[in-house]
Parts: sequence; C-alpha cells; structure tokens
Amino acid sequence: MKTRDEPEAATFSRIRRQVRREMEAAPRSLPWWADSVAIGAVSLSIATATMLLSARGASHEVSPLTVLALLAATFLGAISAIQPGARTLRLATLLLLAAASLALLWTGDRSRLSSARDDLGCLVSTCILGAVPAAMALAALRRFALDEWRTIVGVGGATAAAVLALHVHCPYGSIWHLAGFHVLPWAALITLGLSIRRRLVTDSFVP
Amino acid sequence: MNTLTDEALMRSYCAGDHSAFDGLFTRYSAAIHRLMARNTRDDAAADDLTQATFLSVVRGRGQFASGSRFRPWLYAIAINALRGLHRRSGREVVTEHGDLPQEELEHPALPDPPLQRRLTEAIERLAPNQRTALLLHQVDGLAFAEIAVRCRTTEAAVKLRAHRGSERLRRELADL
Repeated sequence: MKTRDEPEAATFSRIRRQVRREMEAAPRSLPWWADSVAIGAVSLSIATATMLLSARGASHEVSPLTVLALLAATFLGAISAIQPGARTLRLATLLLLAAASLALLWTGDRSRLSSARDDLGCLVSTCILGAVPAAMALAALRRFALDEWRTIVGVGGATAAAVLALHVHCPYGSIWHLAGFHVLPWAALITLGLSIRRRLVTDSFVP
Repeated sequence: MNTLTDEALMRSYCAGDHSAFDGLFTRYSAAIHRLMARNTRDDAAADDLTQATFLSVVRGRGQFASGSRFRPWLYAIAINALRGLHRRSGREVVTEHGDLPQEELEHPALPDPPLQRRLTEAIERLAPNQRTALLLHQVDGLAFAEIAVRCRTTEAAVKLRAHRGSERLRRELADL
C-alpha cells in the first residue's frame, strides 16, 4: 500500500513536467542585483525629475547629512531588500531609515507654521512620488518568501528618494509639518507596503 | 551526474544546464515530499508544496549565493512554502524560532500502534528546539550545520539540543 511517504512515481513526473515548463518559459534568470538597480534607478529618477521640475526651494535648513542619509537609505534599501542573506545590511538599513527620519525632524523649525492646504500638498506628493518605486519593490519582493524586514527596508528605501525630493523643495519647515506630512506619510507608506505584501501571492519561497 | 555535489549541480543549472536540475530533483524530491506530507497530512497539499518548492528553486536560482550550501537553502525554501500555506489557512507551521509543530510528530505509522503512541508522546514532551534538531537530523537526515543555518543558531547548539533530546527519549523509553 502506498503511504504518504511513498507517493506514486506519477506524482513526481507531474511535478517534474511542471518545473520543466517553468524552465522553458524562463530559461535564463537575472542576477539578484538587477531588481536593486531597477528600483534604485526609478526612485532616483522620479526624485531628480521632481527636483528639476519644481521651482520652489526649501525655506528651512537642508542639512547635507539628511540628504546623504536619505540617498544612502535609497541605495541600501534597494540592495539589502533583494540581496540573498544580507541580514546585517538590512539591520544597518533599518537603522539608517530611523536616523534619516530623525535627521529630517532635526532640521525642522519650531516657530514656523503651515496651512492645512500646504500640509495636504506635501502628504499627497509623498504618496504620489513614492507609489511607483514602492510598487516596484513589492513586485520584486514577491520573488522571496514573506519577510517583514525585507519589506520594511525595501519599501522604506524605495520611497526615501521621494521624501528627499520633497524635503529639499518644501517651503514649509515647521517641525510639526515635517513630522506629520513628510515623515508620517513615509511611515504610512511602509506600513501599507507591509500590509499589501502580506496579501500578495508569493511567487517564490527562496529565503 | 551522480558523483557531482549538490552545489556543482546547482552551479551547472544556474549556468544554463537544465539537466543538472534533474539530478537535484531526483536527489531531493522524495525527501521534500516526505517533509510536506508529515506536516500537512494531506497528499494533495504535499504534492503542491513539493511542486512549489522546486518551482521556487527554478524561479529563485538567481538568488542562490555562490559558495553557499544547496541543501540548507532547499530546506529553507520548503519550510517557507509550508509557512506560506499555513499562514494562508490561519495556522502557523513553524514557530518564530524555526521549531517544528505538533504535526511534525505525525510520523508514518509504525507497525505497532501502542509503540507509535508512546514514541509520539515522548517526542511531544521534548522541548521544541530539541524536537526540531532531533527530527531534522534523524528523520530528514540534515547535517547539524545545515540545521544550524535554518534555525539561525550555531552548530554546537544544535548538536547539544539533539543530544539532550535523544537522551531524554532514551530515558523515557528505557523499558521498551
């Protein structure tokens, strides 16, 4: 009698046929960094285009360290979310994302105020500019088993360039404005990305 | 083909030699199916998960890091596939620490049902990390180093867990 541990040869033949069809459909595989390059390039292109097209300049202090932290988060997020293994790099990226958030707030002006309309504009801009890179990151992350840390650094890094573009052009430098309409939407995008990734069908279960 | 290591076969496969994949499939398909069958107690689900595991190898071959071992990578994929199934069905199959669940205890029936029951109960009483180390080593044939990679701990810790687990089983089943 066949037990569960001794499946029929037909079962393995069927699985092998299915796998062969998959191999024939995609005979070559891209290296892991192809996705990283694509996500990083799109994030930076959108941010650069936004900065070039926008005539406004930030009225608050734009710290070079904040800019560097956000740029580094973009690069490292794209790499560490996709690179096989790379747990240490993911942890470093996570810390960098936290540091970049704090740096953004550090440059805020406590005395300046902004209107609700200004606030809404920044919130919408963050979401619009970050949507495409975040979607690309989520599509790439479907090729891995669900891993919350990968998702956080992947979406956080992909949307960091949008936050950077907004930051250097936002004329409203109140710390409350930066916290509520730059950093909070960024965190919300990451949370939303995590929630979406949990619902997406996983294409491959590689660790 | 039989003399090549798993890693050599995987390298050949990644380089475009599709026949190398057949070698890996032949070596591991039955073991992966057994793992799935034990954990799901459902033939159809075990078939699907075995297929998902090998499809993941094909789709994720670009993520196989050169220099790493194939077997721990394959088992990590298999466990992730199991987790995916149980997450969808609302059950978690492997704990946060990589421990196997109660279903893992459901081995193929031994010829003597009372003996099977005693063995199952004794394994159930083991600490989860001892049970995981013991079952993956004794039942699935994974090396301690491979189990250590999957459980994210050291080889020495896995050896100690398996040793303590087997010692406890030995004491509990001494009268058999």
